Amino acid sequence: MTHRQRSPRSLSTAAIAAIVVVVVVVVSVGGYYAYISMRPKPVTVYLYVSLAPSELSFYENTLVPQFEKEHPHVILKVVQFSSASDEAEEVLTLEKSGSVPPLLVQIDNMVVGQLLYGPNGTVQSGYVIPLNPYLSQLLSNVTLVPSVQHVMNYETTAFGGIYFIPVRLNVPLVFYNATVFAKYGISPPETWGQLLNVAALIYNKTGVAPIDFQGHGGASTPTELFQWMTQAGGNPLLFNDSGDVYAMEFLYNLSKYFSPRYTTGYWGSYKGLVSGVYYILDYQWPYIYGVMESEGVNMSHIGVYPGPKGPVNAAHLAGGDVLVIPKNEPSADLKYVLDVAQLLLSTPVQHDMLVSLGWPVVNSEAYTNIPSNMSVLYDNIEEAIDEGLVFRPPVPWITEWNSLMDRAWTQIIVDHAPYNEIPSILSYYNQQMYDWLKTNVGPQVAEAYEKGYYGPLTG
Amino acid sequence: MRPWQKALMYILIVVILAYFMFPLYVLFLYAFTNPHYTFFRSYPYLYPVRLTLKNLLEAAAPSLSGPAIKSLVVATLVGLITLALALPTAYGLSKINPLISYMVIVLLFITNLMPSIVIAIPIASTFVRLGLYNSDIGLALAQTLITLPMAAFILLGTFQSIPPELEWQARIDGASLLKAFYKVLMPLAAPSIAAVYMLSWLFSWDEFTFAVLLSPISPTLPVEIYISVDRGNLLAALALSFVLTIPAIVLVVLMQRYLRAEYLAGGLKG
Amino acid sequence: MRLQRVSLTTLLIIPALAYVAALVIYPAAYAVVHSFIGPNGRFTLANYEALVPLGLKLAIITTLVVSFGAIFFQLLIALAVASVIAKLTRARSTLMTLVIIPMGVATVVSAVLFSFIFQYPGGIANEIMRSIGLAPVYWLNPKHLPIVYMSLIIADSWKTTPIMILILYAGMLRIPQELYESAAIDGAGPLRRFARITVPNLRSFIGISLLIRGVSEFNIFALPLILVGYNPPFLTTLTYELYSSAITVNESYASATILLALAAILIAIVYRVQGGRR
Repeated sequence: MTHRQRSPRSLSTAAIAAIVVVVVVVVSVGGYYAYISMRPKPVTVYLYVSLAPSELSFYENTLVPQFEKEHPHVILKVVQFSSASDEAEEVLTLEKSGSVPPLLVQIDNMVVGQLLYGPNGTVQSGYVIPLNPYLSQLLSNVTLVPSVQHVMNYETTAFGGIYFIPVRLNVPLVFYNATVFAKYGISPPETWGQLLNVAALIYNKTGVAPIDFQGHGGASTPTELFQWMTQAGGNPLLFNDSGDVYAMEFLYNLSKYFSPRYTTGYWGSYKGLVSGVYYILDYQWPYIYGVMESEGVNMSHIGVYPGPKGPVNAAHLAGGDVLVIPKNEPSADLKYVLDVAQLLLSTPVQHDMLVSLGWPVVNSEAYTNIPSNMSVLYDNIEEAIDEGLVFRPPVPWITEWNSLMDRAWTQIIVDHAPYNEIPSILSYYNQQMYDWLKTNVGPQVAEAYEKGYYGPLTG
Repeated sequence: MRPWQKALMYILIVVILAYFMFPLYVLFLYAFTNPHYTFFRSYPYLYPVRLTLKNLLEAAAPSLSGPAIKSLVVATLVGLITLALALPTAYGLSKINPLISYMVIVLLFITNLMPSIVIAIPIASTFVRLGLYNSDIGLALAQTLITLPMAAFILLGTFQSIPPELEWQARIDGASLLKAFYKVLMPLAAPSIAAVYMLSWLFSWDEFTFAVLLSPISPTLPVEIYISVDRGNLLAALALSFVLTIPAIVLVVLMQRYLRAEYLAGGLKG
Repeated sequence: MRLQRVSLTTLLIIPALAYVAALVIYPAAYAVVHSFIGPNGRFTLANYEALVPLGLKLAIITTLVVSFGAIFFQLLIALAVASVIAKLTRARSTLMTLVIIPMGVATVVSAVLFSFIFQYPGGIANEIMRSIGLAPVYWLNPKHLPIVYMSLIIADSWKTTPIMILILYAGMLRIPQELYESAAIDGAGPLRRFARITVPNLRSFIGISLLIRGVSEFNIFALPLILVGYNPPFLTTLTYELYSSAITVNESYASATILLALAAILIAIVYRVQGGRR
């Protein structure tokens, strides 16, 4: 109540103070903006990634300073996808919003298909730009691993251009308990038949069902099955060609020797090998080697090798990331985006990725001067790559295939369907896939699918 | 009591005993019967046939020594660490306002209600960094979490029940605090100290959650049993179970006086 | 002198408190905080969202149903056993000793034993069923959850009921015998005496035993892990399964945090109920 009776004098003092404040603020803000606009404007380039924390810190602390040193007026921002499962969806949202910054995307090869095809089902109407005009720049001084070269050749035939370039590979290896193998004088099985024999031998000697398989379901199991079926000469996308059936029947017989809890085997599962629950970890990503080492496992007990060769080929499933550039307004900033891509593929950076992050990389010149404690692992990665890689085709419906293959796996292996029903069960899922494509994508794609137009990309 | 009530009572006793004794009977039955009559039959014999020691000698032997030594070492360490932490705590608490000491004990019990698995995973990643992962001392440090509240509670009660005059007299006679504690209090508290040690030992001997998360590469006996189950080797699991259970039962019978609910509050975790 | 005494006793207590802070409070806070952090170090709910397709809902249901079912079952058994023992004139301590022996048996061992009992096909329980002319039952059939829950409750209660018996027995010994005698003179039958005298006088003991068992029950881990594996999942086994794979560790923190929240809610409820009565 008292301040209602303020004297006019104090009022005018307040008014003067307010005016002074306003003037100061206006002048300083205006001056700041004037100053900013006078300076050369820095360009910001974005790199979208989906990485583990240690990998991200490598990007931020090694890659970014290196790039910004070479490009003084460019800021490189590494942005992590907010959810690891919907990477493609986030890029699509950005595209649909219409405001795409200068952007390079490093994305899992399994989901890149969702970005390739546009609304009318063609790659031309897709969401990423063809890279052919820039290849000579990107791949100057780079020698690609042969199977990656094959993938890019495939791109040219399938899409009429290069739309993505692999930047890192992931090759599953087989890990085994070297102590147990040595004790029984067993060497790692080189063929499927030997694998079955070794499993039976260990089981009979120790009473332990020795094999762990990625049987959890989700995307993990179908990814592993893709490799098995390819090695038997099958086209896994079809479910039921002779190679697919052969592989599934083989796994059915092998499953007698699966460790009882194989249905929890997943990407990154390794603890049972370490604690001796099972003795053969059938295909796992190489980075678990470093994880085991960090936990103090005596690595002389752990054997690692590329795994048995299949009856038709020894192709290893290639996981890993590819680089794409989302479509954008034509802009001079594209130059910087390409510079980032070039840096990622360059020999020194690829060598650092290999040594510091344990990534198998695509630039074959990076595989020199490997530190000795990791050389066991890299020799095997290199050998696996030399034996040949297989890529899943970048189709946008790979998640639907995953879930159908997961169901087939559960029905045949987990729930022990009768052996002689395996072909008919697989045919059922082939029919399911066909019907789904016909309804959701279109009859042409469904027909092309049935003819085997989509299949593993081997090199 | 009327006759029908008496009969009902006996029936109840038989049913109770059946429930609590039957699984132990199964343990002995499977441990000593030729496995052709138990494990290898889908419908096992429910009475002993062809008794044998082979199960224990053959199935347990290959994987017994490492885990058994680990379990012994860790349980011994847990007993020692528990006493090292609980003795000064209980003594200190016995000297302050009972209300405050009660609150401290309640705090200890409440922290003990924390699910083991929730804290074991962060502890595991810290231990990997510190080099304590898979170590005896690291596992013992974690398992002591379970035994500490019970130990502090039992010892606090013991110290409170010792007349303070005894200690004062010793101090007046010129004994240092440590000496008075050692010469006067320790002998009087010896039975409780022994009980705390054995109870801690027993908890550690049976403990699974911390053990499987913090020391999976060099397992304790309970973890080795789990690994055997996981491998599908049930005969070994059973034989190791027998080895694990015998000392535990002996301790329970000996320690019955101390197996009081208020002592065990958080200690009996799944 | 006084000040010195206080600081000395404080010094004696500090090691234990520091130890608990380092090994309980810090790790628990770490788990909760990291459950909300994505790989980019920023706030996210993705770890929780990732749990949904992995069976989070079933894990919560299973944890709740088995926990509450087991507590209820144990309370019934413990009341019965404690009152039978309290009525005995001879062999009280022998019977008590026999009943509490399961307390010393490791959870892992009880799980192994019940895996033989509830084995299917065949198994000990089914052998008994067969001998009395009943059809065999798939006790741990993951496609028929009620019977799995029932089997798990029976298996769990074998080892954990004794502590409840001890608490309730201690409570029964405190009820004045005259209450029963005068009730008997008034012609109240045994059941009536139980309902009118025993249960009301045991209230606070029942409360304590429910608190102690209830919280431990949320943590059951080794028993379901061995008996049913991960199917159906419990929050504990789900957490462990996620932890076992190097790529889902962050999600295991999220699942652990949910478990922690449920346990905290339970403690709060029991605390309120108990506090209200005081």
